[in-house]
Amino acid sequence: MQKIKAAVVKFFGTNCEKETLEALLANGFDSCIIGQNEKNIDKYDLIVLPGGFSYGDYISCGRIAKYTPVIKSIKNNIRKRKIFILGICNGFQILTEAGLIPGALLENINGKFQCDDVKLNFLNKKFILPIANHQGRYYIDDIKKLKDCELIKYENNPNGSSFDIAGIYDKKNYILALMPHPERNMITPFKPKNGIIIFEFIKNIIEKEFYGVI
Amino acid sequence: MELYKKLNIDKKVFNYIISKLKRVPNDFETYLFSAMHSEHCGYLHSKKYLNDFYTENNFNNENAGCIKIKDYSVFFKMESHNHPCAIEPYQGAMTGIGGIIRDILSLGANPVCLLNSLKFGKIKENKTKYYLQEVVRGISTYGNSVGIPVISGETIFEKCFNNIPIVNVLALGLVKTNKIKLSCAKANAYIIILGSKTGIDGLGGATFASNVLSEKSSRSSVQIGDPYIKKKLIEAAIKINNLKSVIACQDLGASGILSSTSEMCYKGNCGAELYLEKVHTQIKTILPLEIMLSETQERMAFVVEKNGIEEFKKIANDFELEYSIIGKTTKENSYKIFYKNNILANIPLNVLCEPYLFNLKKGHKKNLKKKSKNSDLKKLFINMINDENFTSKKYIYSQFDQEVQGRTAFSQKENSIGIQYLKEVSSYIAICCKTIINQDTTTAVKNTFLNLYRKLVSCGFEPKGLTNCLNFSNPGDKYVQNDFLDVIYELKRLSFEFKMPVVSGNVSFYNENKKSKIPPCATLAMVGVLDDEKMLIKPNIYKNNNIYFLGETKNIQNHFEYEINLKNIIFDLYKNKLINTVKTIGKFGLLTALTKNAVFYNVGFKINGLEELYFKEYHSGYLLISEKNIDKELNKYGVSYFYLGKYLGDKILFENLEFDLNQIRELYQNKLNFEMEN
Repeated sequence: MQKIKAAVVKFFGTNCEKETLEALLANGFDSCIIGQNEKNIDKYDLIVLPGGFSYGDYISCGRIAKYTPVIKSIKNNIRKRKIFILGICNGFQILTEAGLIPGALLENINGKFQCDDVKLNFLNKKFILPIANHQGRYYIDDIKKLKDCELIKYENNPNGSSFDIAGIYDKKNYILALMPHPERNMITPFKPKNGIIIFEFIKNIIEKEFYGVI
Repeated sequence: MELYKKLNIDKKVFNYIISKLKRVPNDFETYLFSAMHSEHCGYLHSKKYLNDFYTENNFNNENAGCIKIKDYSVFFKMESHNHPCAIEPYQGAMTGIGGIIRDILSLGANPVCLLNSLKFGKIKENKTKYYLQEVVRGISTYGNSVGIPVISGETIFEKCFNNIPIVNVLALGLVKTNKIKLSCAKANAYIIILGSKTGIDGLGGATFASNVLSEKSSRSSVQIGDPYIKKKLIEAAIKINNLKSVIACQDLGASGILSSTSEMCYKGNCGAELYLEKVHTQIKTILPLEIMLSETQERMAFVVEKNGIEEFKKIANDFELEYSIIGKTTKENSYKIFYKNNILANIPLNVLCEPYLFNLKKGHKKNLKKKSKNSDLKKLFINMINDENFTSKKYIYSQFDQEVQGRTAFSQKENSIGIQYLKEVSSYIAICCKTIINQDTTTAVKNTFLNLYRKLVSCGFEPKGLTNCLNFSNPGDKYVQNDFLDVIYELKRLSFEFKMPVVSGNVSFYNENKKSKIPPCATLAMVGVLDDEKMLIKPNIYKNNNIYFLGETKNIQNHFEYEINLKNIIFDLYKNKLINTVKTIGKFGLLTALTKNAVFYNVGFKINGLEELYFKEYHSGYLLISEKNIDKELNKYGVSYFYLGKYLGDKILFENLEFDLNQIRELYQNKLNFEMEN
C-alpha cells in the first residue's frame, strides 16, 4: 500500500514545522514542507498547518496567514475533492480565522502563555498531550454549530475554553483542528508517544474514506 | 563643559585616546569613543583579567565559545540585561533574549535552547511583582515566538535585589565545526546590514549600561524587540552563513553599526569605509551619529565578497528582509565614516578598539559578618517552607515554551536541569545555571561550580564546559574590585583543576541605584554531554525508596580527585541498577532538597541523623535513591556514606518533628501564584 502524501505548510513565523514533519515521517506518511505561496497542492491527501506564530501573530493569531495562496488552494481543494486538513495550535487559529472551523480562539483566561501537559478525552480514549499557547481559549456561542463534529475535550479545562473543547474534527469536510501538540510527544525523548492516537486516526480515515481500504 | 566630560568619558581614558590618536578627536569621533570605550563595550575594568581561564583553545575574541561533540560545535553564552530591565522590564527582557540569540547565531550556530537566571527583591517588596511579571512576559513573548525552548533556569528572591532586578539569559546553539563563521573580516569585500531599519531606539544603550541607575536613566535607551523579524532573520542568517562568499558575521548589539563593523575589521586586520546615507533607516531625518550608535534590534552585519552579493540578495528577498550595502573593507588600518561625501571620522582601528584598561586592586576585603544561628529546627523548617525561594516556579516556567523543536527530554516541568537530545550528533546535552550569594565570594563561586558539576553528574552527564555572567556594582569601589578579582581567581583555579573550559563570559558592572547596590553575584552555567541513553539517570522517586547520603558532610580540600571518584561511583551504581536516581542538595540544605522531591513525587519521608546538613549550604555529596539496600555495595567503594531513611507515607518526619505533606504541597504549589494575583 502506498504511503499517504502529506505536506506541512511553513508560513513566515511558523516554528513547529520540523518536528511536525518528523512526526509525520515516523508515523508512515510520505511528507515534505511547503511554503505559504504554494498554489498547487493537488498531489497531497493531507495538509498540516503546524504550530508557531505565523506573521508574528500580528493583528491577531492567524489573521494574516488566511490570506496566503496556500490557504486559498486549500479552500479550493476542499470544494472539489476529498482532502484531509490538520491544524495544530497556530494551525487551529488559522482554520478558525479562515472560516474552515466555526468559533474563535481567544486569549487564555489567565491572560498568559501556558505550557503544560493536559489530560484529553477523544473517542472514549484518555491520553495526555502538551499544550503551548497564548490564545488557546476556544469560544463558540452555540454547541449546535458543531453537530457534525467529534470533539477532543479537556479533562480539566486549563484556559476557559467553551464546553472544555481542546480540538474539533469536522467529519464532513475532514478537518481536524486542535490546540495540543500531538507531534511533540511523538519525537521528544522519554515522553509517552500519545500523538500516535491522532496520527493513526487520520491515517485510518484517509485509507478508509479516501482510498476505500477496508 | 567639554564634550568628553558630558559623555562621561573618564579623563584617563580620554587622555589615552589623545596620546594614541596623536590629536584630539573631533566631536563625532568623541561620540564614537564614548560608546566603544564604555564599560559595556570595552570591558575597561575587567578585560585584563578575563584571559587567564582554562579555555581548551577556544575562540578568544568571538561572541561565544564552544565545546565539541563529534563533528559539531555547541556554542553557548550568557549575558546580562540588567539595566534595560530596571527601566523597562518587558522590552528589556525581550531584547536580552534577542541579543543573546544573535551572539550564537553570528557564529553560524542554530540556537536550540535558552536558559535564564532571574533575581528579584522579596516578593512582598514594592516593585518585585511588576518586575517579575514583566520580565517573564518579555522572555515568554520573545522566546516562544522565535521558537527556541526555555529548558531550565533559576529565580532568586532576595532583599538585595529590590528595585535592581538581575536578568541573565543564556542561549545555546549547534553548528557543524567546519561551518563556523568567525567575525573576522578580510579586505576588499562588502559590508552589508540585514534586518530591521535603523531607527533612533536604544540610542546610547552601551553608555547607559555603563553607569549607575538613576531617575535620569532614560527609557529611550532601551531597545525594542520584534520576535517575528528575528525569526526570519535567524532562518536567513543560517542560510547566508552557509555561503562560502560570506567571510564574517557579527550581530548588531550594543553600539550597533559602530561596534559590529569596527570589531570585524579590527580582528581581520583590515580597515573599513562606511557610507551612512546608504543605511536603510526608519526615518529620513535620522542623524549620521544616530545611525552609528542606534541599537535597533533584529539587525546583523555581514562581510561578503563581491561574487556572493547576488546570492545574499536572493536569500534576503526570499525572507522579505531588508538590507543595505553600506560600505567596504579596505587594506588600510583606518575606520572611515562618510556621509553624503563628507568625512566624519577617520580613526585607526587599533585606537578605536583598544581602550584604556584599568588595573584593579586586591586586598580590600570586607569583614565578614557572622550570621546569628537559630537552632530551633521547627522554626527553621517552617521559615523555609514559607519562603518564596522554596516555592514552585511554575508561575514562571509555564509561560515558556519548553518543548518547541522537539529536542527537549526533560525541562523545568520535571527536572531541575534541562536535557535535550541533539540528533545531529546522537548525544544528549544537559545544562543548568546557578548563583550563590555569600559574603565570602571565593567560597560562593567554588560551591556554585561544584553544585552545577554535581547536578550534571546526578543525571548521568559528563560535565564539559562552563560560562559565566558576573554581576557587580560600581567597579571604582575598592571592595568591589577585590570581590571581582576573588571571583576571577577562583574560577580560573577551578577551570584548570577540573580541565573545564570557560568558553565564554559576560561582566556587568554598575548594578546599583542611589539607595542600594547588589552584592557580588557570579552566575555560572555548566553544560554536560552524554552519549549512551541507557546511562541517563531519570529523576523519578517512588514509595519505599531508600535514601542514602554519599560523600562528606563538610567541604573537602582536594576537590578534583574527590569529585571524580564520586562521579565514577555513581555511574557504576547506576549501570549495575543499584540506584533508581540521584539527587543533589542545593544551597538551602538537605531538608529543602528532600522536601522538594517529596512534594514533586508525592511521597513523604522519614529520616534520622545528619542534622548538621539540614540547613547547611555547603557539603560534598549526593543523595542516592534506591529501592534496594545498597550498604554492602557502598562499603566496597571505601567512601563515606550514611543511610538517612526512606521515602514513604504522606508525612515529613525528622528529629521527632512531623509535618503534613499535603499542607506543604499546597504552599509549595500555590504560594507564588497567590502572591502574584493578590
